[in-house]
Amino acid sequence: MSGRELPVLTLSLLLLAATPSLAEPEVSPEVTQASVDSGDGPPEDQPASTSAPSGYTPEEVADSPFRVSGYVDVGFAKAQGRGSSFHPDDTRVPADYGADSFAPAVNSRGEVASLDAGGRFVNGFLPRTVDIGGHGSFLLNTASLDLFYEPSSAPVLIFARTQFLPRFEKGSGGTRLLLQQAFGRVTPFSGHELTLTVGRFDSVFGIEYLENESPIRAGITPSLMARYTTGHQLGVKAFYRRQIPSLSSALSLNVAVTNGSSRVESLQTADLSLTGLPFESARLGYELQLLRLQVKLGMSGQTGARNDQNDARVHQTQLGADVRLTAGWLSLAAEYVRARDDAGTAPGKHTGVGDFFYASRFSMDGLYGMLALAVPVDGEALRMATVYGRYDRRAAEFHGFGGILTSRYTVGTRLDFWSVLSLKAEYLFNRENAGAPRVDNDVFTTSAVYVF
Amino acid sequence: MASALFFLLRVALAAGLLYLAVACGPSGRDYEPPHIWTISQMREVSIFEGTIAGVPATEWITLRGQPIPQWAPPYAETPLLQSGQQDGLNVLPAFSEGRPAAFAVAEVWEHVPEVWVQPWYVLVTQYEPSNPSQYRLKDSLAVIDIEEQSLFYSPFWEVIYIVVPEGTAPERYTSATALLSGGLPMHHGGGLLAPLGPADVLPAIVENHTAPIRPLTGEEVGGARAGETWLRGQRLPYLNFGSNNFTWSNEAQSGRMGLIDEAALYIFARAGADGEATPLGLPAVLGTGPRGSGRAARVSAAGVPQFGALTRPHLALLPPSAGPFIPSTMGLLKSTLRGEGGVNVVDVHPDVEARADAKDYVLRVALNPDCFKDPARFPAACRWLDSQASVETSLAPSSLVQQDVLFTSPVLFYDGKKVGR
Repeated sequence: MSGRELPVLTLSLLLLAATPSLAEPEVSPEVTQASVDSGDGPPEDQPASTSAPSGYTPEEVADSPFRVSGYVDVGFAKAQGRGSSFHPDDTRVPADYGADSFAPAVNSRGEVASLDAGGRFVNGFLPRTVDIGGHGSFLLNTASLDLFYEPSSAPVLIFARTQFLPRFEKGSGGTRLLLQQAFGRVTPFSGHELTLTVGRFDSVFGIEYLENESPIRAGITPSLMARYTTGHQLGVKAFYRRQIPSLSSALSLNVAVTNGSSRVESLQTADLSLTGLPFESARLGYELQLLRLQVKLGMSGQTGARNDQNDARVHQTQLGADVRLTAGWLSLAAEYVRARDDAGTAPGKHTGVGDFFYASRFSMDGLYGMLALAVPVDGEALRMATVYGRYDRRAAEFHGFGGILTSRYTVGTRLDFWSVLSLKAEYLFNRENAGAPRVDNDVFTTSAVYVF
Repeated sequence: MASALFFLLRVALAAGLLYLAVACGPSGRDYEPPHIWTISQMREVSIFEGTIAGVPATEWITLRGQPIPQWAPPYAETPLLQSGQQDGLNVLPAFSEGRPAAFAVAEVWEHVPEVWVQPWYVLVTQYEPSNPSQYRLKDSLAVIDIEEQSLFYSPFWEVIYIVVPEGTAPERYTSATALLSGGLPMHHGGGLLAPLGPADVLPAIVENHTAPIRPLTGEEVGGARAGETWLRGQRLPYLNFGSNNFTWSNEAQSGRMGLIDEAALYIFARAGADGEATPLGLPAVLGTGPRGSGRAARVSAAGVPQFGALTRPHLALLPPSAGPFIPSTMGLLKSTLRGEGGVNVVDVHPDVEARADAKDYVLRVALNPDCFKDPARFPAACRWLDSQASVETSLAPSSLVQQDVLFTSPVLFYDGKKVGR
């Protein structure tokens, strides 16, 4: 049996295991649907699809203003080839301009199996890596600890999320302890859905950031768009939602003024402004909430100085549109993202993974769509079975370097046991459609997520 | 509800004012954007008599039918003209390793700190290591994958021979992606210096001459050959200055793999009353490695120098006592340098001028030019500034002012022989 057949077979077995439950719908799916759109932090971090319970969010404890929750995500992953998108015979530089190094993701953090470019020069368009190459390996993806303080005497929530990321030192940069979020949030008016948040929080762009954490994400790996939309931001933001009961609808606005954009930290840091110019982001949302159908539409935009270089005149803009639809057990989520980055005016590019040569002019258009079938199960242990598929497509070009078009088909399944354990398995079929050489970089990955 | 909206409005107003305060403040550092001046752009600037990195573009490119600066006053009484058939990359006289040399400036990398080698794919039907081009696919062009507009463009290519089946159509592969995806056998060859550029800009040829010549001495120097290559399905012209005339780093662990090895280029200058350094128009000294590297000259078995194709200019401030060797036939230059340049110009003894090898010393700078007056002790008694080592040991480090540019500078003449085609 080849290395490629093994993960496919395993995935098939998992899908078969999920099949019996498909015929046993006993719980109304509407009950599990989170209808709340995002503001920030766990109370609003609800899944985009029906499939993912907000399992790790703790039970309300009225007596104490303090709460603790968290999760542990343990996985096993195996990628084809060398585990990277870099073709072994490709000597073009920068290596990361002629391939999509983010494609062979192995976990919900978007970390890839390998970034081995064979010693070739790279220019900082890189994810983080677990550095397993083409070898199958167990991984402790994340151990996450959330601390809440919510006094009854004030409409304030103080939240901090700390994450332990054990990594082998050699190529991954080593083990990290990450303060992923830390913010204070005020709800100034008791009768209105208005929150003001200051600190380091989730992005406000698009919808995929809602699934940043593995307990919430229906599948395992982020989409090819996630690098642009799911980073954390440091600054201030305001979220407001107005219900329109007569139309079974709601309108929401989420605006943020931050150090940098919604790019992930391996591309742009959130921790400080490298230019001194604030970055502005906003999402306007509409929700239609019927008994058996929910539709959520959103438009996002952001603009500001590129926060991977030092010149405030060098701008970056990003636009997005998103839709989510839930009907019965089915849910659909789709997102389009368009990004345009100006060229730097001086050598030097500074990202979360290091200093690089130059911030090139860049353009990207991409989308993904995900269809999930989440079937509630009235089992002793098994509570929900989900199968899903996702299609991603990304066209990107660094100025002067040929554009590349890549796509990905993802299929997977998720089984939720009790309210504390999720088992997931996923296969990524990565495709280089144009501009990038074909390379073996498909990925089979699994994840066991325990929440507390 | 109204109060909530009012509150939001106030927040938005405050955020807007904050944004304006920051956005309208000082913009911080003023950067000069990095830029690669390609041959096409240099010619365009030359047409409009503009400057590149503070230097008139006409110093490097002479338009067809125009006087060549190095063959015009004050270097020559009567100006010689560039051939009317093409525009010319000026042949710039220099010294290297104590011998006459010459080079051209084909590209200027302004505020670009480093240059990488890029792949140049050549299609062959068989690979013969002793002569890799022997089985080149008939009528096929090489394939590249980087445009001049990119800051990662490079005229320094690593030739990679790709073995395609016999009978492959010459236009079957016109992109690097198609080649890489084809899973074809590959063999790495040596380096090729080939800037992309128009086919009608070649090393300067004096009117009624057939080949480029070195100013001051009139010796024939190397040229270049025009060709075409594929870039993602588009044909692009290039100039071929020959093979194995540069080196690059293979240090994978240091992250320097593929970086072109640069060499220092010392351009003699004099500090003016205002403190500004002014180049004197004397032949430069072409180094064999980066400043202070002490790297020995690397020369191929065919006598081709493997250094100098990528140079980093430094202004070398001459001490007042230093002076160039100027024969009496160059009276206009002597008076110009003495007058406007404030240079110590010593009259050369007639016996020294009469030496058979005197032409090899024309405009060569000595720290003690009085040695030009002593036939008995010339040239041994002269302390020449004609090599990287002599410049770096004789002049104070503070007198060597690095410039924030790099030159693509094909060496056309070295050690008494022409280099290239």
